[in-house]
Amino acid sequence: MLGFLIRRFAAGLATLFVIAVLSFCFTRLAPGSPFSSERQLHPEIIKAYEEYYGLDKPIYVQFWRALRGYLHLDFGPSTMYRGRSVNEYIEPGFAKSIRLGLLGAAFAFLIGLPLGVFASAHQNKALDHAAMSVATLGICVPNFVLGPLLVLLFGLTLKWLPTGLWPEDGSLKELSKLILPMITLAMVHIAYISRLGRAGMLDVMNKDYIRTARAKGLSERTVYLKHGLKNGITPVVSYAGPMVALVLTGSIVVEKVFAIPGLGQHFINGALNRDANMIMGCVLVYSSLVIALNFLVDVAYGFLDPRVRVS
Amino acid sequence: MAAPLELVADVQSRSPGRMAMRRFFKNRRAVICIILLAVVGSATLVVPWVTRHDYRESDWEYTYGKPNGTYWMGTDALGRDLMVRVFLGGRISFAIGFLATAVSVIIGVAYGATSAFAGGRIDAVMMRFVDILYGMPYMLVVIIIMSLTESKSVLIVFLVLGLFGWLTISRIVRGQVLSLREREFVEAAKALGVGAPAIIWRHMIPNILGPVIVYTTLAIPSVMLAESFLSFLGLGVSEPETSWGVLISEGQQSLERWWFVTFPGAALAITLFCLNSIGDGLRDAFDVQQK
Amino acid sequence: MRAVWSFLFLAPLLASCGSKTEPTSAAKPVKAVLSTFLKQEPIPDRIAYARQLLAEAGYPGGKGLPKLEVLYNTDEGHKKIAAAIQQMWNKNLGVDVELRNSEWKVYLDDLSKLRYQVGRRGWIGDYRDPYTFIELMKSDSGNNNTGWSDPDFDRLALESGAEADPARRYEILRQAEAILLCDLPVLPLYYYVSQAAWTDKVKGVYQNIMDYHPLNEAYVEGSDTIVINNGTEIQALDPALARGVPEHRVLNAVYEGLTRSDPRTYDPLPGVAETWDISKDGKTYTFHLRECAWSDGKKVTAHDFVFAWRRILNPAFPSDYAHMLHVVKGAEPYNSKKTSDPLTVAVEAKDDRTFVVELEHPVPYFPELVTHYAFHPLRKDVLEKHGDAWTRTENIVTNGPFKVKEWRPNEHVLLEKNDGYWGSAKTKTRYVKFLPIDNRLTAWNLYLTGKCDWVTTLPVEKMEEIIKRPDYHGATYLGIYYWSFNCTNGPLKDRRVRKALTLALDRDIIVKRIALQGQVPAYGFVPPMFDAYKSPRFDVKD
Repeated sequence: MLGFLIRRFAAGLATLFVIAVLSFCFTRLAPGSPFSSERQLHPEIIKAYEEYYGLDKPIYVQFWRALRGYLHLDFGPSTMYRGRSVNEYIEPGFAKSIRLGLLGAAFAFLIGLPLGVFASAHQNKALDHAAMSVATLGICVPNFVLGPLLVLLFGLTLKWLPTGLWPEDGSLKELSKLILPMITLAMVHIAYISRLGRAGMLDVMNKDYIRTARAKGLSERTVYLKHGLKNGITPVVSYAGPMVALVLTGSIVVEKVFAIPGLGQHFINGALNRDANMIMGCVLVYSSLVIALNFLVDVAYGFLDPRVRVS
Repeated sequence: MAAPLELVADVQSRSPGRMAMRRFFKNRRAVICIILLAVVGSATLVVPWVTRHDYRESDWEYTYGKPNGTYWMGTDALGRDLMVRVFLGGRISFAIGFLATAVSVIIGVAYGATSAFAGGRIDAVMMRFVDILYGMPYMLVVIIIMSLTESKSVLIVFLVLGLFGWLTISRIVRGQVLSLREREFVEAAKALGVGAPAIIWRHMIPNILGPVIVYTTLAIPSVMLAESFLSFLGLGVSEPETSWGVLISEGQQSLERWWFVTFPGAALAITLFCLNSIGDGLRDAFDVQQK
Repeated sequence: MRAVWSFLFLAPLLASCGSKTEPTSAAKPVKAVLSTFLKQEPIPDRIAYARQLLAEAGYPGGKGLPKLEVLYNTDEGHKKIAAAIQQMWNKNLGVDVELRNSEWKVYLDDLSKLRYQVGRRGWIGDYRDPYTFIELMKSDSGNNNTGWSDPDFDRLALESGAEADPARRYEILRQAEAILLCDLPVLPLYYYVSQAAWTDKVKGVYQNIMDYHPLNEAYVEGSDTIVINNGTEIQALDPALARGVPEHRVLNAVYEGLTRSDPRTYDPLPGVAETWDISKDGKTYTFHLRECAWSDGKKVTAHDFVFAWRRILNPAFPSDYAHMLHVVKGAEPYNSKKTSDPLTVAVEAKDDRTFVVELEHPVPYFPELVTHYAFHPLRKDVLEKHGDAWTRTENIVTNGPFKVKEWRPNEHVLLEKNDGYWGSAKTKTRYVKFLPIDNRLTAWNLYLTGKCDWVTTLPVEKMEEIIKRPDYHGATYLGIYYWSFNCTNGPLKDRRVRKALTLALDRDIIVKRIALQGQVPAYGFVPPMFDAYKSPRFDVKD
């Protein structure tokens, strides 16, 4: 087991390194300059900026410098927010995105999984169709429509919930600001989880061992939850790895609609502004999460089905 | 669900594929949905030809117009007939949705199944490669591809969406195959000397079809919406052409003008609803163990 | 009077008209542009004339004209206008148009490298003088982006600088604009309006053509905090590194230059400088500084200005707004590395409270110019002590009506009243909170639910209803929305084609049906917001 852990950790680091190298090259390859704006700068001034940020050095020198920073979790200065470091934006943004993301992920699983299992238990009956229609709606109404719609309904018309901003303290009134963003964040994943869960369960529930379990006289409930779920949710578990990584690193749509100072917007703004360090910071945070979560998923396969050995 | 007696007859007379198709076409819901989808699909081709409005032509006296006798779905911000634009938008959305999803599902299933079946080091390397692709700054890559090819053609949209869309499906397929691999019937096939591709094709794929079909039907609308983001970068459709994704994202900015988002949204919803029903029908039809 | 000046300046212009860079164009009828600038023809006539011009250029009914590509950066507003232009050109002239949108940086790249045919542009004046627009189209301007150049235009632009008499100066600038409108490397569409909404509880805020609102006297009735949506996260608190309007709002609240702006009229009022003398030739300004302090109690001295101005001009230190200081004698050579001696920049601290500047040429708007943050004073000792970290909340020392209390990235910038500020008696609010929300609809929703007192950007899609509200505050804004032609190749080299395209747009539809914010259709380039400046127009027969 320890050997497996060490090997996976080393592989993860190597993966991260490859991602860093490739992404770094991409940031340098992209057309457009971080210093261009509607008011064009004199070439001399752009040169001065490049010197100031060390962008005039050969690319391997730049990468070497950046890499040393990454080892200390220091992503360097931002070209978009001048005079500030990327860490000053990524750290508070990530801290908030994790919290909202955990809420969103929990919500997605708490609604999506029961919905899927429930639907599979009533396959092709009215209840199944109803549950799956809800899921269908979740994906048809994309988050950039759902968010404003929820705001319009619950924020402006009914005035039940705040329309945006991050909670200022832990009071219930402030925390209620997170409800609409959480739903918006989770909705599409509810659709995926419930449908994948249903499909997984249906695949499993016709298998021989389930029939054996039923024949043993176990209650339908036990059969479902103990034997069925364990194997049936494999597709959901596979989906969960990348999904949780995505949700924890924030969504620009949710952040824009609800004015949330999360991490998601930096992915897009960094790329749009060619802020190389910002892009690298976001990429590395997100990739680390993906790698870690996919590792957890691989471990989970073993727990769900002891025959599976992931080496 | 087919009756057991018929099934016996089927087994005797038909190949599994045709058997499945027969079962599928007995699923009334799925068949209706196929017809409906075909109707929507052909409407996107036909309607822009036959209506009296041109998708480019503005009625400057009736911008942001509510649906009325002349404009059945209202007009957009430029006073253009929304109905013709919704149907026109369906063309590109259908094409992108189906083709890009097909590309990514084929890659994803093949890749995931191979990785899991091969196992060991090959599996590890193949999955780390997936992790690497997950980590790429997607947007930057699109911008670079565009600048290198100096093209904004729809082909690149297929390429981009297809190339990045297969990652999660490959992880799901791998997860399924990993547990199937250890099953008795696979061991048996191996012992009989059946080759890996044949095992994957005959034993694995049918068993993982459920999640794959579900994922595919969900991916199609996701891809249709993702397309609107690419057109933000200047890739794919540009004015006055449009797509459902673009129409919906335009519409979300003025939700009070309900017709902006409702009609393209409804078109997308109908499509997805049909896809899901067809998907479920296919899954049921191919379900090898279902009795 | 006008006739005299027209004659004086037209004579050399007309003489040189035939020998321009564009061989295909007919002699330039600059005279018409100037003499009939009041005439506005009805739209159908204009289109008929545009067709005639296009036919004369060899493209009757648009035949033979290759497909034109129109470039804009992705944005709903630009997209709509581009689509309208496409329709109008197609319908009115038979010209085929393809639209191309790209994201911001690629768009800027294509624009500056002239990889486009027709491109979306816009320009906001830096100061209230026509020159801020004329300067833009000089052949050496980095923001010209059309490939167009005209020696007479350049010469007039230069001459305007040497002219001390304001009336004659305006006339020179007018001549220059006439050349521009005759050649039309740009396609003027409309003059901007500024737009904002603030609740009726917000007091001490006024609209002006620079859309700039000093916060000195602003406050919210019944609250110690005024919450303003600034539209985006500010990019820097270092005046030398900042750029853009949101930074302007914050920086002008925490710093004060030699002068400051009148909240009502935007006219320069005494700031750190209590009074100033101008030499007879208009080139030397002597500012007499008042007794006032930095937020840490130290006195503001003339040396702080000398330090800050030289710092921003330092070629090794990049700054977007260094060019604003180029009116100072010796500034441009030092900034563009022609000399390495900072002492050649003609700024001097005669003593702690006397600051003397020598200018390259008379600059009538100089007292207004120095309200800009590029001219704000800085503390040498603070910068040296903290290095790059000097703008951190715990380090920064400022001299304006407010000081930085807290900056939570992407959440808010919180300012607190600076009690040591010399005019603090008039500051009525305790705190100013700037929100960085860039989604206009989100900001508007927060405004509607009372989370924000003042929004500086409004959702375009809702403008029709917002514009009717009593808390909407729109005003003409010193800026022009235009599209530019790439004059270096293809049919757009021909000024008749450009003029035909420029004429064939119905600006009233664009303004009233698409832009929706009460913008003013533009038939010239310099916004018609200067009383003594008589704007020429392009919509006349050659």
